Amino acid sequence: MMHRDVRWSGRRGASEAPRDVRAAREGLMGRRVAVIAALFATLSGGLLAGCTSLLDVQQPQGTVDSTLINSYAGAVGLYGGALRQLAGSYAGTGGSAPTFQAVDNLVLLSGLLTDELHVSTQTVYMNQLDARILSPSVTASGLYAELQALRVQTLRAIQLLRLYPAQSPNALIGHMFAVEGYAELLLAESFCSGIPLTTVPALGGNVSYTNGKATTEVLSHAVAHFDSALTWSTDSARIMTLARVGKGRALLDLGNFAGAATAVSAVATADVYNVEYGGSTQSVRNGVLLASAGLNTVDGEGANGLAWRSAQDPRATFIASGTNWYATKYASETSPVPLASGIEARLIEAEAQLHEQSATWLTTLNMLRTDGSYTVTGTDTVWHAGTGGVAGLRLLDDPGTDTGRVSLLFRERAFWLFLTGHRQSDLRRLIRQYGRSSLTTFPIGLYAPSSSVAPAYGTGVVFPVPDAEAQNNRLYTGCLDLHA
Amino acid sequence: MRILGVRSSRFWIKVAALVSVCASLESTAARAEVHAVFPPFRSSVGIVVGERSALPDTDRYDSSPLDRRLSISVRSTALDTVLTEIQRKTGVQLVFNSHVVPLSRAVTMAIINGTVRQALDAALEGTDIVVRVAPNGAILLVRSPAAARPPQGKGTVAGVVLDSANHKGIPSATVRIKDTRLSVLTDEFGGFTVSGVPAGLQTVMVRVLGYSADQQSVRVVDGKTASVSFQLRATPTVLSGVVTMGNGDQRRIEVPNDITTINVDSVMQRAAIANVTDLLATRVPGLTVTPASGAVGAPAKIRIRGISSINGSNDPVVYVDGVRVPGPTTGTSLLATNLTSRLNDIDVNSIESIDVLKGPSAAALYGTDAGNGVIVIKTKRAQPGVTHWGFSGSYATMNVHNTFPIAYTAWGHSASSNDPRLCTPILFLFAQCVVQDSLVSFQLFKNPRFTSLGSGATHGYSVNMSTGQGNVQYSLTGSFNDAIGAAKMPAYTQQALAAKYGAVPEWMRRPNVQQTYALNGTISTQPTSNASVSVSVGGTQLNTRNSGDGVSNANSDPTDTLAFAQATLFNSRKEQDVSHVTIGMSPTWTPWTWLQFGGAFGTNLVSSTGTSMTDLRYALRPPTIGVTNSVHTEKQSEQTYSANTQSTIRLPLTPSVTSTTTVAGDYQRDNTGTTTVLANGIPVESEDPTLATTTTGQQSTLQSARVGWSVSETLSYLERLFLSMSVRGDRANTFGASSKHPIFPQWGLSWLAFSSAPDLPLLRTVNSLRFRVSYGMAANQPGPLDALSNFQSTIFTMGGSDQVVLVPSSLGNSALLPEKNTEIETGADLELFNSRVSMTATYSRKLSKNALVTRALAPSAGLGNGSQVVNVGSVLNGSYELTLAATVVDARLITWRTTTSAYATRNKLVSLGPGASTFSTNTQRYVVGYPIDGTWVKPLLGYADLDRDGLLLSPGELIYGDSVVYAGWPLPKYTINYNNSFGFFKGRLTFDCNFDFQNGITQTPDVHDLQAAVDFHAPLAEQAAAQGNGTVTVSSLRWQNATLSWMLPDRMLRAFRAQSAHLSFSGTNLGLWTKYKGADPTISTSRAETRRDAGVLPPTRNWTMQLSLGY
Repeated sequence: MMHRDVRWSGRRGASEAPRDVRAAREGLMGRRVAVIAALFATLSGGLLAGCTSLLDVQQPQGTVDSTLINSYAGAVGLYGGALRQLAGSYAGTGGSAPTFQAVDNLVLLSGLLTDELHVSTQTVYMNQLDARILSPSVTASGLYAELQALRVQTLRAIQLLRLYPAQSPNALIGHMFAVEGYAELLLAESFCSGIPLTTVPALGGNVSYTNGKATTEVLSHAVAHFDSALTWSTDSARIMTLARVGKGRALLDLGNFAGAATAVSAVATADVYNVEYGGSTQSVRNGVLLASAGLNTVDGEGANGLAWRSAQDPRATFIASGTNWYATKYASETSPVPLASGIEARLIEAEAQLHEQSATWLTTLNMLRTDGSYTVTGTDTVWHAGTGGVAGLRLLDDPGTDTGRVSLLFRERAFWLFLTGHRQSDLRRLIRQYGRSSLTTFPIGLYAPSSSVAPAYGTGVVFPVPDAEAQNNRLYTGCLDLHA
Repeated sequence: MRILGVRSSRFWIKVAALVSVCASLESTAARAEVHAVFPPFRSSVGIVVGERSALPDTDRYDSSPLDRRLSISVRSTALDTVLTEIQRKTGVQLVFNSHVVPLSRAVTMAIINGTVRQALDAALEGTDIVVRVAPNGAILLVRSPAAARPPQGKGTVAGVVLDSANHKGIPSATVRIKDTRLSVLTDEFGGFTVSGVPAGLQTVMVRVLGYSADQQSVRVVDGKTASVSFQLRATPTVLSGVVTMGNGDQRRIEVPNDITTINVDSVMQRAAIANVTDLLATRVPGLTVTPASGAVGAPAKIRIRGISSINGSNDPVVYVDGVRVPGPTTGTSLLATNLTSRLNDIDVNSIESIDVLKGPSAAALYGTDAGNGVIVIKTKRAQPGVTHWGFSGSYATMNVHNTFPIAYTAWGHSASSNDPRLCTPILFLFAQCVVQDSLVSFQLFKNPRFTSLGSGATHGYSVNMSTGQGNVQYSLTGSFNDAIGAAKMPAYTQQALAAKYGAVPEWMRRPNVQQTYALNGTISTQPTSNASVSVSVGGTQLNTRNSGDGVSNANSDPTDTLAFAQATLFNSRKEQDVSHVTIGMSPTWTPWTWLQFGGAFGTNLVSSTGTSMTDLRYALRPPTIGVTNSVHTEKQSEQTYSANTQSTIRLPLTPSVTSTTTVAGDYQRDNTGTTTVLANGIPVESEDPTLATTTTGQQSTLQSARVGWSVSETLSYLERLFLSMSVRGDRANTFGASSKHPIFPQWGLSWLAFSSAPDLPLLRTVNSLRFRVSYGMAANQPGPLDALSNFQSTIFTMGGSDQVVLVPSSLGNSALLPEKNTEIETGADLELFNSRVSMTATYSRKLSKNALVTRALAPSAGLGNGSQVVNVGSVLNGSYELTLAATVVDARLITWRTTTSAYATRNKLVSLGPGASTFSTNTQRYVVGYPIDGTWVKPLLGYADLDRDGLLLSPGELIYGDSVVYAGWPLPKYTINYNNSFGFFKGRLTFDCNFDFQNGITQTPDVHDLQAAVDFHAPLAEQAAAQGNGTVTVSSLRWQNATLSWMLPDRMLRAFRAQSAHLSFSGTNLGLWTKYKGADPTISTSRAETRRDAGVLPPTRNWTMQLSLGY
């Protein structure tokens, strides 16, 4: 009862209560209700009026989202990131000091597949790769992802740089075109025919997958990018060198020898585009010959391998460690690795000359051997082709036969371009363009007879596109061709 | 017409005559009210005077009967009783028409040695009845001449409807004026006002579900307000009570969903409850609890009506007094994963009730995030009145009684020597042994020297106080709990370490401990009669250590290796300290009875520090060179701010139809900051992270915000048909996403087909029958970073200098939408036999569209092994829930009530988007047409002993299928919970027991047939089975708990000087019947939905004694 009294007497008196109800009922469309409706609409819906600001949140710490990236500074950041990706995938390491770990870089893996490098320790993955026993589930999946990431990042950087034409130097865009061309070139040279060229918007979003493109298509794509690079980079000799040599290399892969020679003709023998390593402890390190990788070089690997060590060629020097011989070309984690050079340009010209049956091919090769030099800076060997003689290199003699000439040319390429990621492509071209067999080019025979994982060399000449591509890219149906 | 005191057998003859006379009189004299006049008591039929003009006025007659003296004192007593008492005390004869005199009117009066006239005047005060004396001396009670005129005009009836037990107002009771179309609902305080009531004597009828109906007569005078008060007796029903929905408290009858409400106080008296997860387990049909382990403080996954999301969260959301708090498995710590659950931070002693909204059809008004259901927790509120104190203390023991498989060690000899040596299949393969001579069996946990299973214990204390003075009520609850888990360092290891180091630290001897301190308080006040505000503050401090339990060595045998392995296990330390504070404020304002404003504003703060250490200071063997100690620390701070406002208008649109309209706004903001520090290379002699050779750290912050609005409308027709409709819109910040504004509709129908309430059809044995159907949509929000195209900044050397460069780290998905869960729920609630039997049946069909799937990107997308969250496909969950409760015996000395609830569920991946029928992750496989989160294995098709060595060890001897096949689902297909409650001696002694049956759980046990795995002489079939994939689908029956509770007698209360006292003995996990060979089929260490109980402590058997005192 007390409760009841409080309710009623405290509100406004029993006699007034009916008027509320009456007014409410009768005035549902009346002024009082309108006022009340406005009141609770203000209270309850007021939140919504300012909901835009209510939803404002701080950028998560440690993230750089597309809103921040959409600027010239962001574009330059992506540009730099692409070059970092190039360094990592080409010959770099992952992780940070002091526990750098070797990653699946191109120089390392292609060197293993060929006769450049040999595994000195027992690991299933590396042994099988070295023995040319290739599996689409594991082999080179990391390298494939790294090169594809390089390709996509350059693509995104180009898109973003083009959004800021007033600020973006042309050379930056040209540089990205050249690197994108190299990404495709390296994919085409290392992996099977059938490589998807997926695209992604610069600021993220939906992925546009593609089917697997034939090697020739990918190389043509690369040539187009090199041409774009040449258009955008006229004010940068270094990038022009990169684009010209890259284009020449791609055309050489396509069998267009004359075009290749033309593409590199403007490259001076002394020009070089090095991929840089080192700097602060957080930057990418040269990961080709880390001791932990356990990779050495042997003479005549798998019957067909070159006699790298016994040749005692100053272009490929080694140091003994127990029974193993490790290359000293890159002596430290900060050693740069040449991606394109005037030496390669001359080698391309020499091959084109040989292909045209021109006697100048040997002259061109000998010019490199006599007109080059190298110096030792610290522990690094730095080539200065065209500036003098090279100690230990004698002039080459013409073998007298086409086969011998081709072999000599490719031997010269092998030593000049030792551990720069060219050897696999050269062996493939020997098969594809010069009619040789994998049995006479790639390592063959017994590998490790007591090993259950790799008793003998397999038949792989190209890395398969990893299974992850087919599993997640519905347009991709697998390699089109696993031959050279 | 009624004559008081008549007992004569000839009475009915007189009544018949009188009625006939009255009837004739009523037909004349302009239907003036007729008042019969009877001869005095024991006289023959006397005169009957119909015209009041013929009646003599008392002033004109001898008034001696009215002058008789008496004393009478009554309080809130019916007028009928008062008149009887006056007649009994004075011998006067009172004659009146019961249709005229308001006999049900409550009278309060006190006459000390007064006259009958004074007594009658007092009793009839406020009515239009006057007293007349008939010539024969009878006292006539007749309507006054003025009142006898036909009533003119209209008046108002106002009053209040109260619960007779606690005198609280009953809201939403229907008040009707009989024989008119006038009807209103009571407000939240039980008050009501009916205007426009025709003047005259009116009958006011009240009815509300859950209470007995009542009616009273009241005289309405033109332009005046007549007051009337009702006190209704509660008649509990499954449809009575209030549940908390997204638009505030609603009567259960109005809500077209099956909302399970747990009244925590009553549960706590009948079961040993340690935390909120214990409260929910087995009490909510459709809710499945999967504990991570039997360790103290271990969290559990809570799934309601199946699993909806493939990659999003499947956790329900939790609100405490309207404030959003972390759910069951959120608030995780990267390094101290699965140590504790934030849901269990809430002190069960502070909880009044829990409502479980099981699906989107009920939770639509909670909008985004509510797609997996909502758990609504209300904390205790003080009541006005005297101060109440409560104290409870408990002690529990914990032991593991599960059966572990026996480990076997095989011994044999080689071809060249008869020296005994281990002879396992592997050694046989390497020709290290050729003949197996014997098998040695060993049961690790049966060996007192080697077992890591000990006895745990818990001490718990709780004090609560509540009081209300004036308009302020407040309550305070403080609790402390100290628990030591059952895991312990084996005695052998302990002795070995002690011999080496002298003493073994406590953190190694008892790897699992937890201390909990909780303090919760609420204060409620009514600053004005139509406004109230309640503020609640709750805080919990939790210190947990759960380093491991040694169960992973279950398959080991007693060798030095085992001892070393045991010791190594205990070199890991995992600890977590959590401070959790929730502050909430809930104001209400009711400016008019038909309009109410309300809201809830609050914040939830969690600060946690998790530490994971490798501490080799007490190693049994010297650590390997190069191995060092490490300390990984993660500090996390989470703040959640939530606010919601509600405005409700409740109006009768017509006498039969009432409208309730609610407009609400809702806002939530979450801030999370995490700092992780990894200190490696700490010398083994130290645990000091400052001595680390490398220290790396990471810091991250994350914010998210959500704002929502909703409008809901409930139409009630005659309190038996309720139609509810609502719509909610949300906007949420998801980084990188374009503006999204998902809309969540809901509608429902609740139809009370039969009820014992007045004016409703009544079947003979049916007390009530309600049908309901509802449809609703809610969502599952993507992660705050899922839409974000993100980049990582790093260093790269260009041109000889270091530059900050950017590389993509996630692709994001700007088109990402919330996962929408659409549910249709239908069911019925039936009560029979005076509510002794009740049944609730519900079917739910929940379809999750725009399923959030973390799809791996092909490497050609440039993100390496990256992934992208996309909306593809849909998932269907169907569930059936049935609850049957019956009071089997309801006698004076014994009562027996039984409740059985059954739940069945089915799950299916309906689609994965165009052109896709399956996708896989590293651990899971999703196939259209099959349940999500199922287990897929390559089947063992057969076997052949190709080399005829009697063993299936060589390649090709076991034949597996080429592809994986579906093996089962992690959640039980069927669950049956059977509960019995017995009461003895008027409820002073109670006994409760509960059994839980789960069917069709697919588990991957850690162990199989250990003997066949090593025994060369085992039959090939057993060898094959032992090497199979191990996944099994099993059932289990668990005796969940038993509680004996005794309400101490008064003489014992005096010893405690208490007003009430309960002493209870409880046991939990008292028995397990299953064919499962692993530790326990119902637990899972997996953070994914699949079940795996690899090497984990099973649920313990607890015995608890508790004493509760009330003052």
